[in-house]
Amino acid sequence: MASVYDRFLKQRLSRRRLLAGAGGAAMGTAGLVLLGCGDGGGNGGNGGNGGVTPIAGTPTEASLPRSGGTLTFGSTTSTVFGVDPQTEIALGLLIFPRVYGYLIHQNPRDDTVFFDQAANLETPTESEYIFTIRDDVRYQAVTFPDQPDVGARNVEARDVVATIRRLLANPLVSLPKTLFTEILEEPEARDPRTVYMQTRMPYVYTFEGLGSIFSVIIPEELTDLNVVENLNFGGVGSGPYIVESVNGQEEIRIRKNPDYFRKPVPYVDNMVFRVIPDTGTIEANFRSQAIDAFSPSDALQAERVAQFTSGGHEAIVTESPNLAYVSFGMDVTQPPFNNIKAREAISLAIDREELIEKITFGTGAILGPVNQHLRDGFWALPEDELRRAYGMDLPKEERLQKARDLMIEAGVEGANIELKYPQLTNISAAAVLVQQQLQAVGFQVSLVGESLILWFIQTLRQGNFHATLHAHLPYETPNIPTRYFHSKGVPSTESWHHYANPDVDALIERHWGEFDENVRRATLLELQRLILAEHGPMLNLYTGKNRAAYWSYLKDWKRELPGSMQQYVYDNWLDT
Amino acid sequence: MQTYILRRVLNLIPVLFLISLGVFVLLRLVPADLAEIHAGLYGTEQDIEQLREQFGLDKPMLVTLAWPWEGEFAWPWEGKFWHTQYFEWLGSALQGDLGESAFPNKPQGVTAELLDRLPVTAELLILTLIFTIAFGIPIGIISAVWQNSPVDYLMRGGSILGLSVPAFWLATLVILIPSLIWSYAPPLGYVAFFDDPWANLRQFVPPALILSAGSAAVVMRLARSSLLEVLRNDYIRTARAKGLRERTVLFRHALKNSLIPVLTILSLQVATLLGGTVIIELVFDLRGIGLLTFLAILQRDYPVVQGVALYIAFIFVIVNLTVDIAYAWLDPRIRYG
Repeated sequence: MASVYDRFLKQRLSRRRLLAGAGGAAMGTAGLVLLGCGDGGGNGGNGGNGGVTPIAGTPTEASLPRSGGTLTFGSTTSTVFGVDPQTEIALGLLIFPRVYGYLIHQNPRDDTVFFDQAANLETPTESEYIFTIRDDVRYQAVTFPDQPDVGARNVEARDVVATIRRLLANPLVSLPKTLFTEILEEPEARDPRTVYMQTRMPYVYTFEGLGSIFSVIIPEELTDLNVVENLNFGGVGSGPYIVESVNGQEEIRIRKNPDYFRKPVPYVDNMVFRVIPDTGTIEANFRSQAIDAFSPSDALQAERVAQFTSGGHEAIVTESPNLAYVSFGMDVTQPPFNNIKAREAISLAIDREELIEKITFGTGAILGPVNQHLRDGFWALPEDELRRAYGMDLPKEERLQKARDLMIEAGVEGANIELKYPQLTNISAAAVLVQQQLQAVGFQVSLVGESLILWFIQTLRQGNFHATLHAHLPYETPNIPTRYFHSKGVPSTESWHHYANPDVDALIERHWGEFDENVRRATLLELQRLILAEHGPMLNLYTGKNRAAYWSYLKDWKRELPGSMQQYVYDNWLDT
Repeated sequence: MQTYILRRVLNLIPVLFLISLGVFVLLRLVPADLAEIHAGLYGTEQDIEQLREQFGLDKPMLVTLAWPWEGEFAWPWEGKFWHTQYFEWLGSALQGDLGESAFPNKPQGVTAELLDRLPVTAELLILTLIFTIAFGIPIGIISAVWQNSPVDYLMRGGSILGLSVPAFWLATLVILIPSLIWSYAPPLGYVAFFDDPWANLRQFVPPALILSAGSAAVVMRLARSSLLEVLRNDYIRTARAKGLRERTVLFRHALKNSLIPVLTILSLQVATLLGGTVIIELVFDLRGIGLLTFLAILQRDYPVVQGVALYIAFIFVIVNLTVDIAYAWLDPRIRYG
């Protein structure tokens, strides 16, 4: 095994480790924040890497987990497509990781790789990966309507190959396909338990892609795209839970898989994901214990919920740093953004502290090009450096005057800015604040609010904006956040900001091949300093907190694991 | 009378046709088509084209025109003219099939979805109407009988409050206050009345009461003014002069006549209440047509929005027709007008 991988593979997900260290943790994370819980980005965010702070209640763990019971989770958002693991972008994100299996997971806190259904990985070179699949993992003994019978057979290498083929052919896939289209050669099933993969170049984010929440293993029989819609109502997986019923706008039920290979988990017999679109109603139902856990929509609701007690139980509310964040994006081919001094003036004029105070109720943090909540800030620039770069070390009037002077030098006094934004509560409020802040130095800012879907489709994807507030998804590595500054952008085809800087491109591409994390960190810091000096095309503004609320009878509902790792553990149990 | 009804029914055909056309075209004026929405942030142009074909969006929207000089001329009746998104949808709709949701997270077609949710919305509407009548008419009568008394002022003030307070605000309070004081929330999920009447009423009575606040206020004010007007008529004076008891004058002679406009407004309230159910169903987590509409609009699920809009328009038109017929039956001058 190549030594560069040793540090990645130093931890495996043994049963003991899984049971001891992993928390069932918030079902609410990826999906829910994606859907508007948490205040980092309007789009929410996974539980961050910086640890969890209980803001109320004392999480106590009884010594012996008890099996049984039904856990009901409340969500304000329904599914968009269903529970198809390759297409769903909302509530279904909480379901399919519990139904399907993965080869590996990668912990974004320290990049370590945990083995799920892979028993072993060999890396003869930096570009080759040979996975051996466990011999005791079987598909669930169920069949869904209009789907072929999988026959409760063992998970095999051909399933991994077929899953990736389906992903490449599927036009609805919700994740960037870059790893699979540009980096990875077609995988090969060498025998029933061995999958061979080769990347076209050494690529440090291979594990991120293979271990992402979307990279489940689907049985080959179900990978025909003709049954693509059927997977939205359930499919046979090899995970700890079996889909029982899916009504994506109302309620999804899953039940324990009695043949799950990692016994004795899961403990909870049934899980119900209940869609309750109104935040007040969800709170009332939590109060009456009709639901056992949910993600408070903001700090005020979290504070209120934290006071709840009922039937000898107390509500526990936890807060964790958010991986989602908010940015101010510019089309750098259009005036005034094609002038670097104008971009600097904008960066100085935006009062990030005011945004944090008013949008996240003081719980947020300022942000450089890479979110400091990633890996406890290992990849991010120090905060004092960011403060200097944003002029936050200067008195406010001096900072604003400097912005005005820069505008005069750039000849953009009174320039018009059309600022688009997705109409999510926090983002809409941030847009108004940014408008006021930019007008205070003399820009004329008009706001254009758009529904989230339209903003994604018509504004962001088509690069159809003068300026826009970005509601970012909860990225788990610096990969996507830095790709925003690449001339080929996030989808590896074009920059949505029409930005191209060969020096920036070179640094981004260089870090893709740097397996020594200290070397990679140095490159990433250099890249971020260059991006800060460019004052664009995207000014990252702030990131916030992610919150979870649950009753004290729900045990091992921990928040230690960051990001999508929270979805992959199943040892929570009900002490009722 | 029969001719009048026939004429009114025939008038419905162009109205419904225009509504269907309006709904269909307006929804397509909204930026971003279904294929673009499904392709998401990372879909390629090729993906979008593939999805357009899959959803039938590559077909012409309204009509297929082929001109002689293009070499493929065909008369409308030769068939090609109708092979468009609109006429295919309309053809299916006429056969009771409103199509499939654009998002595969719904387990059934739009028609089945509407029929599934109809009992929830219908029960909510029926209860609301019952409360509207139960509160609106008696309070209107009391207010008219004791005109300009403190009771009248109190009732009128209450009706203004009922009209002014937004239903969504009242609904939020009704959800939150019992939750904070008694840890109470209405049961989740629809429970049919015949399965568990108590659970069903706990689900439906609070939202119906809230929804009826506004409509009861309208009915109360109309009942009051209508009764006051009738009470000033000569035949009422005559009845009183004959020595009839005031109760007889009021209930036997005045009330019946004063309720004609009230009945009309009650019928029209049905249509208004259909719109009001959207927010109430959202807040009370009732899986009715209102909530379906709300979520479909958020998701840009055009087939569902189209289906619901057509359905609501249909109800509205039928209610209007019923009112027209009822009016003509009650007041023969109308059909000869």
